[in-house]
Amino acid sequence: MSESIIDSVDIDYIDPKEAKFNITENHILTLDLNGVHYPCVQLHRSFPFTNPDQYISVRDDDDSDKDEVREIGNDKKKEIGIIRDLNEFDAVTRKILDKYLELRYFAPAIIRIISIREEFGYRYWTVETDKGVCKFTTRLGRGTVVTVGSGDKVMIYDVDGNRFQIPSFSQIESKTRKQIEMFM
Amino acid sequence: MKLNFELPEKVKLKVLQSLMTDILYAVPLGMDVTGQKRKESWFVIGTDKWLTVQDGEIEKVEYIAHCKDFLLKPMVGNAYIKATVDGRVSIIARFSMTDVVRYGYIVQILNQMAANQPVKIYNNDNDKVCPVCGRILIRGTNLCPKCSKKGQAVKQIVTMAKPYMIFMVISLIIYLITTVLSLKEVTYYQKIVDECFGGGGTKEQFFKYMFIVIGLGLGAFFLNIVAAISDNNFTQRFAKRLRKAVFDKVQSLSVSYVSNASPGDIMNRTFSDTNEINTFIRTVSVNLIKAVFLFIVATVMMLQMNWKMALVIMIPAPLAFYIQIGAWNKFMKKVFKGLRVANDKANSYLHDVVSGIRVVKVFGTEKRVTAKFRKLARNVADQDIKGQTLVEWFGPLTSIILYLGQYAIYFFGCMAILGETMTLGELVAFNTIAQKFYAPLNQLILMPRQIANSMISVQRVYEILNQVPEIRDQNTSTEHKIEGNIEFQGVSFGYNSYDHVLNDINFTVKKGEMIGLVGRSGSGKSTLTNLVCRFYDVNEGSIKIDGKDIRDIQQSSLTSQIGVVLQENFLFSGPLFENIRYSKPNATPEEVIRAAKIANAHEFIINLPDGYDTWVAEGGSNFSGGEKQRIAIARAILSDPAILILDEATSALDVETEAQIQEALQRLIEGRTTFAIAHRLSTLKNANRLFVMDKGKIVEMGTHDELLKRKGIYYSLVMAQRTMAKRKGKTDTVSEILAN
Repeated sequence: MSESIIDSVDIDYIDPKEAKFNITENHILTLDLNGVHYPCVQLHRSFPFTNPDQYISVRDDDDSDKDEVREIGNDKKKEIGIIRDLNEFDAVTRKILDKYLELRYFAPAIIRIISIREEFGYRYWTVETDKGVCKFTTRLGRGTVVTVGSGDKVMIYDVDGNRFQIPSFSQIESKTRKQIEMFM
Repeated sequence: MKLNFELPEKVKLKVLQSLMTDILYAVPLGMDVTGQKRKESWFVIGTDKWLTVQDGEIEKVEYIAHCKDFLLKPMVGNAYIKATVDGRVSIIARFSMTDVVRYGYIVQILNQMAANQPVKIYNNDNDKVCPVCGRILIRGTNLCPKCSKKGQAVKQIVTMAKPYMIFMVISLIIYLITTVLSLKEVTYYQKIVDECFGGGGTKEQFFKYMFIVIGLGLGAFFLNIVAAISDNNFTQRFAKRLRKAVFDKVQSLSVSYVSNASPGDIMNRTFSDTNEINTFIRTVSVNLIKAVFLFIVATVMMLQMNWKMALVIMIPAPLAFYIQIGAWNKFMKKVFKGLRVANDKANSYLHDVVSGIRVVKVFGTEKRVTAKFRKLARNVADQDIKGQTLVEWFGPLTSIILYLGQYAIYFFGCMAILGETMTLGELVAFNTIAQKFYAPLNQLILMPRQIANSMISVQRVYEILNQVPEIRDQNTSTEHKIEGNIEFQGVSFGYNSYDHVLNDINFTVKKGEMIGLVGRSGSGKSTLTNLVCRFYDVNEGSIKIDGKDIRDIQQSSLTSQIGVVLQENFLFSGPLFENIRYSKPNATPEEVIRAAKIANAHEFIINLPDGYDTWVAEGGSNFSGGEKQRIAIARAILSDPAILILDEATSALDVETEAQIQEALQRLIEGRTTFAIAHRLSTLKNANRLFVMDKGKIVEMGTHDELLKRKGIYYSLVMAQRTMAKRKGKTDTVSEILAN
């Protein structure tokens, strides 16, 4: 019996012992891996809601050749490897990666609703978040306030493409919870 | 796009001191590079420097000449500008998605300034702002939530109902008359009881009163029929007008609006919302007036007859009112909303599973699917039971409270009769009027909820009716008979203007030329053809047809002269011949047959039992891909377009069918300016020129032979396909061997 087709492709997991992540003073994430220096990398979560700490794709984001015409099918900005689990990294690196991911997946956490107004097909929110007071607008109707992942996290998407989150819906202040429940 | 905001005086002073030049551009940031929200947070460009301000203080200043490669990087829920500053790659500013379009322009400006080029801002339009309060409007809407008052929306909708209001007035008058008649009836009940049953009355009197009562009843009955007919006339005519207005509006809106909205949403606005509005107008114009009138008349009559008893039965009314509204807000609203959501979930899951039944069968997941549906169905049942239980509790509770008044009538009525201050007839009359007092009360209790629901629909319909299409004919737009010369001059375009899909496209195509567009997915081929059809307007540059800017050609004139054949062609349900002559509704049967013959479609159509009268099922599901393709080609042929766009028109077909369709297309292409997109390069062998596209640019241009000689991207594509074809050939041989 030959091996399963699933096994015919390897995932390049990044060895936590070999990888050295760093954030430069200019706020760029860099990586040194197996003797290669990557001056600019990005992290993409494979499962941002259901498994945010595992299977994180580390991607080369060096734009220095942006004007060169590449050969078709040979994309330079490729995946360097995949982080199997953030917990495999030491505390210092983990902090760097968490900080980067928080910025990439930018979604202020709502603490409470200050006011909500509905008019002409749109809902106007003023909320207190961990980043300060935010005002934003969402469309009425489905898909703007949704539960994701295990079901206790709520994401709110505004008309401009901004995101707001309630990391633990069951823990939020009850008045806010009741208000938001009506929109889900 | 507004790129120079007015800075607060204090900040402005500090900025001017730092720049030591004028402020050319100033745009809000809202946060620092670490994502912390900041007050007085700005990105400012002067003549030779850029700087950032956080919390009203200058954070960072740099000479633009020391920087290069400014790049906008969209993240998730935010974006940043990356640049090389003094040779080091840096993130220089971070902002929310609200300002991302603005920063798209800022990055262009910075790059042009860094390269010492003149700054070209093509999109110099101001943000769409409310003409009244100056607030920036949400993208995709023309309504300012602050200035658009609900009253305005209602006024516009009511104005639309005006021509049919006469029907409403007729039914209202009739309803008022019947109300008076029914109250009049009561006095005769009193007479029957007091004068006839109570003794002293004659048989003639009894018959006379009975005759009047029956007469009044019959009169009210017939009048009510007239009122209902009139009512119905209003409903149907007004609904028709409103639906037509919404539908016309949707048709006039640009592709970008319609493709952003979901089909379900548009259908809801056309049907459910217009229905809801109809109910709203009827509720307010007839039911409310009727209920209030009946309520007042009944109250006055009761007070006149016996004010003490009247007060007694009115006391429980506010309590009932309070319980109804309280129960709705506290319990029922949530449960019924839950029921609606549960229903929606179960319905869409069912829809999904039925549409994808083949996949379910192939993977044998019936049990899993059934289990999930059972769970969803149980949820619907649970919510429904909860809702019904609440209704069963609160409904009777309110009734009992209201009927407390009824019991009071019997009690105080009997006491009054015994005390001889009231007659039996008066009690009967009073009781009948009290019944009439409760009926409008029930209606009035429910009305606020009904009106609140309707207001949402009014707003949604008002919003769509007041949309201004992004692609519009200008006053100067004229009809134009297209020859077929096309010119792109410095065209840049993005579906999001900060993220260009096409960059600085320049070319000229002569009348009758066939251009093959080559390049991998996402390189901008289809977008280029969309711009020729003017589904979207370019962000920069211009497109000219026969030397005339396409924005100066009437849209209907332009699109009627462009034929499009796609990979997946949509057929409307209806007769086959109607589908062919969709592009030319007045085509004769002979023309339809000719077009089908040219498209190599006639042979298969004539072999169908119903020929050209064959009914096309929804989505054309009773035709194969190749057949649909040929019908689409016939459709394009019939309109005799000057410009033809073939977007992967043959990619989904087998070799034999493709050959037939190629032949048909060749006839169609003859003499027309054609843009053909194809991944299979062999299908472009007849093209006069090939444009090779990559990352939104035309990177190679020339004939097949010229491009092969150049040994560039086109060459490598051809080689790759040849290798693939050879491999495929080998596989075929192996499978043949296995088969034998």
